Order: sequence, then C-alpha cells, then structure tokens
Amino acid sequence: MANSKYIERKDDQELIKVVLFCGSAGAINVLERFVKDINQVPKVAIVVVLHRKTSIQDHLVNYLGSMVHMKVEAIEHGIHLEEGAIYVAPAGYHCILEKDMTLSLDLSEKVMFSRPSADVSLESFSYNLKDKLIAIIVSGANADGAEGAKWVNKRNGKVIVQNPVEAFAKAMPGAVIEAVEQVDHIVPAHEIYKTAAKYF
Amino acid sequence: MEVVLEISKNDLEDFIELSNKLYGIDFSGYAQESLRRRVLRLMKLKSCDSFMAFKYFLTNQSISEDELLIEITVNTTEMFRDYEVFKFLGNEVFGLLETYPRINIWHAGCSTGQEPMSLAILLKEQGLLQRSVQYCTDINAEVLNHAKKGIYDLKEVKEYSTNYIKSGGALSLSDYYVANYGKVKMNKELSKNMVFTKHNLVSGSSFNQMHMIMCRNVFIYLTTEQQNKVLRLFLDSLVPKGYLVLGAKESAIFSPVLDELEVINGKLKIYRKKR
Repeated sequence: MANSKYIERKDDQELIKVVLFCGSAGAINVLERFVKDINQVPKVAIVVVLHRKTSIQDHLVNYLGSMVHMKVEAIEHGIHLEEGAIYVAPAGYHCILEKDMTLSLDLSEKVMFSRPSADVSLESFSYNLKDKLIAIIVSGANADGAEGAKWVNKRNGKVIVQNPVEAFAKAMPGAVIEAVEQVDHIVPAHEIYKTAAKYF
Repeated sequence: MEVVLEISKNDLEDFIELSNKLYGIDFSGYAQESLRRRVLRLMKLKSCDSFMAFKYFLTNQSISEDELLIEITVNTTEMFRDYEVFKFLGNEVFGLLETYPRINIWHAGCSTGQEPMSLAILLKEQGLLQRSVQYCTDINAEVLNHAKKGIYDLKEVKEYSTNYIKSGGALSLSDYYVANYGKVKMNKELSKNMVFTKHNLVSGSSFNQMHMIMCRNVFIYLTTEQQNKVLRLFLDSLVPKGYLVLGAKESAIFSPVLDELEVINGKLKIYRKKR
C-alpha cells in the first residue's frame, strides 16, 4: 500500500466546527475579504459553496490559496474535513456532509435552479453538525439558502448574513433574513470573519 | 401549516431493512447522506408527512420495485460531460485501444445512455466504431430501456453541442441525430454495437475482459467499502493495461487497490491496470 491514502474509518468520528460559506452573484469579493481577514489559522473547517460555471480547472482554489497561509483544497468525493483548512465545492455537484465528517458529492436534481445548492448543503451540514455549524450567507441573486438557513437555525447552528443593503445582489441574503425567524447576525462584508470567529 | 419532514438515522435503517425485505433491493451499500435526501424526496413526492406514513406506504407495496429503485437512485447524466475527459480519451487512449482487433468497453452504471452515445460518436470519428463493443449496464431496467431507444429531448441535446466540439468532435452533433417533435433520435449506427444488460455492480460479477471501463459518478453514491468491492470487480474485469475512467470528482486514491493501478491523468481520473 505504498502510495495509498486508504484509512479505515470509524463510524462516529468526533464532530468538528464547520463554517459553511454560501453565495452566488457578487459573492467572490465578499469571500476574498473574508479570507483576507483570517489572521491566524482557525480551529474550524471552512467549506465554500458558490454557484458558478462548471469547469475542471478550479481557479478559485489557486486564487484563495495565494491569499492565505492555510490549506485550500478543491473538494473531491470522500475527502475528510479537517480543522484549519478551506474546502471549495466544485460546480455541477451538490455538496453534502456525512456523519463521519467526509464530504460527498451528489448529482441529483438542481434545487432553486442551482447545483451546488446552498439549501442542500445547509440542510445536510446542519443535520450532522447541529450547533457545530456556523452558516454564512452572502450576496446572490436568488432565494437559494433560505430554506437551508431555516434548518440551521432550527438545529441550533449560527446564521450570519451579509447585510443586503451593501450586497451586490440582495435577493439571497434578503431571503434568508425573511425566512429565518431570528438570524444571529446581519453584518457588512468586512465584519463577517470577525463575527464568525467569535464562535470558533 | 408547513410540514417539516425529518428522518432519523434509525428511520433510515428501517427503510433499508424494509426495501430489502419487501422489494429485494439492498440499499445498505449506499452513501448515507445521499440516501437520506432521496428518501425525504420520495416521501414528499408520495405525500407522506411522517416516516410512519412512509413505512405504511412501503408495507402496503404502494410502489413497484422498479419505481422505488428509480426514485431512490440518481440517474443524472449528460453527453460529453467534462469534455476534457473525452478529448483525452480521443487523443491519448484511442491510439492504444486501436491495437486490439476487437475493443471491449464497459459503461458501468450507464443510466440513460448519454455517455456510451458520446463515446460511440468519437469512436466513429476515429474509425473504431465497427470493431468496438460497448457493454452498457445499469441496476435499473427502466433507464436501460431509455438508453436502448436513444431518444432524448432536443433542448437537452442542443446543450451538449458545445461540449461535443470542445471534446474534439469533427462534425456537428446534429449530424448524428434526426429531430422531430422536440425529440431527437440518435442514429441507429451508433448503438449497433451496444449491448444493454441489467447488472448490479454491488452484487454482480465480471462478465468479460474489458479494454476500458467507464464508471463515472456511481462511486459518489456508494460507501467506501462498496467502492472498494466495485474497484476489485473492475480490476478483475480489465485486461492487463486496460483503462479505468472514473468521475472527475471521484478518486481511487482512498482505495487499498490503488497500488494495482497506474494514474494516467489524475485530474481527469483516468487510470490503467498495471499488469
């Protein structure tokens, strides 16, 4: 097994804290700000789920990697989440979390015209992480994310929303604020990391 | 009032047991999260507002075995999905396949057949179609019937045109079908050497020696344990130096059989049996 990374996994591994960053149109700038604000490698796994065009070459991964001193990895099916790393979901697949903290990809129907869909990831991550999930929903032009954020809230995770007033596309953060009875924070882009870090 | 559906891990286990007992379908090797989402989806589809109601529904056999299978499994596929893969096969792999007098290709989990159809087009353009046999298998009889007919929505096929060109296609995709009433029928010639068989990857065995196996986006629905079993089956079914093509975001890297494979293109997930 010279070059095999194969590891036997136990069924129930310890849960880690996860930040799930969701967005669509206009989200890249916010993500960039978020990543630049990372001042020390946090004890959380950060998973990025954005609506974008399908392509095998993932420039976003390299781009984020050039901005921050922590591991930035393109998500492939079956990878195991670790603290102190950023994971970027590929276009064209839904991204879901198994209870053993591995990520799965899924080609089932688009949700809110989107694959990956924020709703799908938020629901799945919150199902397995409960209060260990910190969800961030930023700029985007449709309501994907609102249903999912309701689940996060119901399962005691945190919901942080970019203030729609300053978002490039208001629909996505706006829909979350409308759908969730009480989101935890509504903040401008430059305060998102600081706000999330309170829970790390 | 809004109905908020939720199922527990125990519910999911109950579902697996019921499907096995009542319908003879074994979902135990399926990746949990996908399965949970598919079950929730089916519950909504059948207006079951609790897991209790859904169990009642299943126990009364209100759904056929075929329908249960088709609703739980995911059958999404496209022609020339990840065009880079097809381009690589055409440029780098076909040249080696060409050296065999007869080329056996297995599409494991072919769904509605878009992928064998894509490959048939490229094989034809390189003059290899006549001596290729494409074995198209799926666990699902219904999607195989669809694949056999080779009839697709015109709107859908038009979206594949760009990827066909990017894959290195020499003509226009429309040269390969006849359009009518919003549907297209793929040219008969493309499927002449296709063999369609129902086959379960998880419990099935090897049925021929293959020069290439394509199994893209099936592993994402299987547990690691099942993936390893299927990989073993693939290795047993490949000729020495035979090719294995997985989905672009799937990886054999987690598997204990990796050492028996050579990575031909890590990004595109193209592997080759060592010996």
